[in-house]
Amino acid sequence: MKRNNRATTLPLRPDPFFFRLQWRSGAEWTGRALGEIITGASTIQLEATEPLDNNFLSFLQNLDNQPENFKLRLVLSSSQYSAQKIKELIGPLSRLKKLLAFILIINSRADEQESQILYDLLSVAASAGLKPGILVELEPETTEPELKQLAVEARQSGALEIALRPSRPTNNYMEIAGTVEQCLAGLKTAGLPVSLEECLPGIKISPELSEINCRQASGSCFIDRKGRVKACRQSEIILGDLKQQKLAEIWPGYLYAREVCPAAASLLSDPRESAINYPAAHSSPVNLDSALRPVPLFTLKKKEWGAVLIKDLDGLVLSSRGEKLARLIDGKNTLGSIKKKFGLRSAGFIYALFLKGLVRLEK
Amino acid sequence: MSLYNLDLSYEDFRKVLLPDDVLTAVPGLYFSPRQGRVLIVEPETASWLVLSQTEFSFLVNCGLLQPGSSTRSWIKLGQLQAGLDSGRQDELGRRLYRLFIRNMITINGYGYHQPSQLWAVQKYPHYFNLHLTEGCNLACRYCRVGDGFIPADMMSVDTCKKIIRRVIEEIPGTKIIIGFHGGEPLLNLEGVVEGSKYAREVARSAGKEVTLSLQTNGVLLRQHSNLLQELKVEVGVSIDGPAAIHNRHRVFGSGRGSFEEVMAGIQAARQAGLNPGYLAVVHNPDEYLLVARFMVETLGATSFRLNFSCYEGRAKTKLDFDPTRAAAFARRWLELIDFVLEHHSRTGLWLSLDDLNLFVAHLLTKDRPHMCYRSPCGAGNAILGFGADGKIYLCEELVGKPEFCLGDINTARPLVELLDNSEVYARVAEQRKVDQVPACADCPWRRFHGAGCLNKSFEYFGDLEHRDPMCHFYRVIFEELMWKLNDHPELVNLISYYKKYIKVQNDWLA
Repeated sequence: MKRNNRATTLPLRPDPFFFRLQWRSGAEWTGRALGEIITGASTIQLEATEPLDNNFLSFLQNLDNQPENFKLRLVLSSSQYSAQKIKELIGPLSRLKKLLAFILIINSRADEQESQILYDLLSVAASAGLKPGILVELEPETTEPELKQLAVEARQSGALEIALRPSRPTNNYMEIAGTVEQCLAGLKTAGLPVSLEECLPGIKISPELSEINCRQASGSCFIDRKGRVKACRQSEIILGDLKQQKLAEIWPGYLYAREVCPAAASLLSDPRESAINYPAAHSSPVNLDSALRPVPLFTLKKKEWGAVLIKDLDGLVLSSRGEKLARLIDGKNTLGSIKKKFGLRSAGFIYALFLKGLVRLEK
Repeated sequence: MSLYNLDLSYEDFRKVLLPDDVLTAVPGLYFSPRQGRVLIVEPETASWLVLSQTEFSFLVNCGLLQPGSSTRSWIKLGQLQAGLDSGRQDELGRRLYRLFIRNMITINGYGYHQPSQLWAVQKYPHYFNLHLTEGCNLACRYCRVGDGFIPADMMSVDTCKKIIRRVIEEIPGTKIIIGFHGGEPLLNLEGVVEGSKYAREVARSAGKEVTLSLQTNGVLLRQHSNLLQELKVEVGVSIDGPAAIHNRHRVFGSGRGSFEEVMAGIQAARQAGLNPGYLAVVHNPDEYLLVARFMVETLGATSFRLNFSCYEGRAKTKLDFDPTRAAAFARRWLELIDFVLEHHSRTGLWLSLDDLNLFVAHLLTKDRPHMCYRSPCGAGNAILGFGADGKIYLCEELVGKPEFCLGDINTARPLVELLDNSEVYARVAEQRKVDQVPACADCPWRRFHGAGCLNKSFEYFGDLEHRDPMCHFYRVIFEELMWKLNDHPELVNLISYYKKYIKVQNDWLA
């Protein structure tokens, strides 16, 4: 793994733009650190570890009124609410313009009554115009029919996204690897894709079957209620402490993916290479017409060392030259005109962005 | 022959495909499984398709469709065709054709539709809505004019004429509509009469075609129907259904219901030879069917509009608005489809229900004939509203709201110049693009519905950055209409008079 000097070259990975924050009243990241988080964030996912109350609502409203452009995702435990309670909260929640996902946590072995409460909550949330989803905490004893039924019924109740994570970080899923994979494959071919919020210890799921939302700590981080920064919820390595440090001081220690995320061992050493090594124009499977115009589906976040190109959970580090090229992707310039300025390899780069779903091509 | 001709036939598609062609799926597709089938929606071009589970599984298993993935997979046509006999190859070709013309796959990077060119909005308005007065002889409980509003004087004939002359002479376009609204426009009879005559006179000399319309609560129709007929003004009457429903909200200041006066007005209008349109405002979704039956069986209407009540004006204090009410509205509204089908089987006639007809049109075409469902909506580009005091607003619904005022008809520079240089219009046009509203930007239904009504969003949320407060209603009904239309192709007839305004692409049943 290359360890480049940050002062002279790019970091190995972008500073996080997807923040997973654990909330409870008095959470220790809510002061100065929050200002830093907001500035860098594309998405903030808040997971409440205690029932939502007026304090939390005020906090959310304050966050929603910030001028910065970021998306909010709210994660709540479904077992802490009744449909009536959610109805009381739903009015104020439905008025938050930045709240783009309302995720309810449910245990995979929840009984019928708990499941029914979940479905009721999903219906209420959907009716109020929120975009609900479920986060299933997977117990190792879960059977395929149980998981399928939960996914199907949640979807019918309005869930727009379904994700899995371990019920406890110490669980090991090796014994049910086949069951999980079979279930994910079955749901995918049924049109009900399930993602992994975090990796499931003991199983290496093929990315074609299910994408990992934490993106193996690339562009994403977890901050617990005590203000401790980690690569993900499961990681035991604390990268920094917001009570004592600024975020900017923490990120240099965040660069070593293999140390902070065991699942990241298979990552390429430098994400720039993963982009650049996509088929260059001469070796791409198709000869792209020079008259095509790449249209951006990403946002570009300027950094001191270049920029990060972001779409949802994915980000791509760009050097300042890469940033200049990305700025030409505006739906007006053609591949031909970009090639003239940046050479043949730029077409390969744009094709790579096309395959990553970051641009579309138009005539 | 080009693959990108929008009349591409299957035969032509097959002719130009080569084994080396690279197929990629478009990211961001929405999948919705139901009873052994899967609905796929391509949001950016508002395209959709229902596949059998077998067809869908084949496309997922071969790697072409990747539900849940944000990246595109790619595969060469030759790889897909390998080992298939000519019959199976033809079957595969037809599947790919259906996906291609719905923009769900690209071939060598090309998509069939070019989304950036699909959703253009018109540059200058064609519909000019004059609030002849904000005063009214009723005090409806959901009126957008709140109790705190101090009614302006009647619009003077001079102001009315000035507006009419300026919009006809200054705004480009040969067909224009002048709408008389309020308040109750018939309280300003002089404005209606003089305005109508003057509009025809100015339009004639400018070589333009003008349509005049008037929306009334019907109470004064008994006195003025003959006059309106002489003036050739198209009349719309607001009536909420049978007396028990109508009288609940459409009341005089005393609280007495207006049903009898309105029915008498409708009768007079018919006797005068007017053919009024009917509009009902529904606040209790359980009454959708009752209202529809009333329209058909009592009024004999074959075309009418059912709006839901909105959180604005007097309704904010007089009515309850449950934040989850959209679900009940959607469920009950969908029952209207069965009502229309039942009516057709009994009489052979297709009823025309606004906006059921329009939503069906949205599923069959990329045209968006109604300004409210474009992105941005028609405020300032398809419509202008004029207050009784001559102030110019981006939309009729925004009259009286200073945030959306463009100027005064007495002092405003040439209207084209006013619109071209208006910061108010530029801000609204940018902020109400569907991609700019956070909750709408990733919504599968964003190109079917747009970001919704600017005014309703502004009234409910207080800014321009929010979705339509009833967006769940639209999410549900568009998806349900897709399933229904797939199962009952004859529902295409619900499109009704929108046939005149759109070009239905012949691909939707391919």
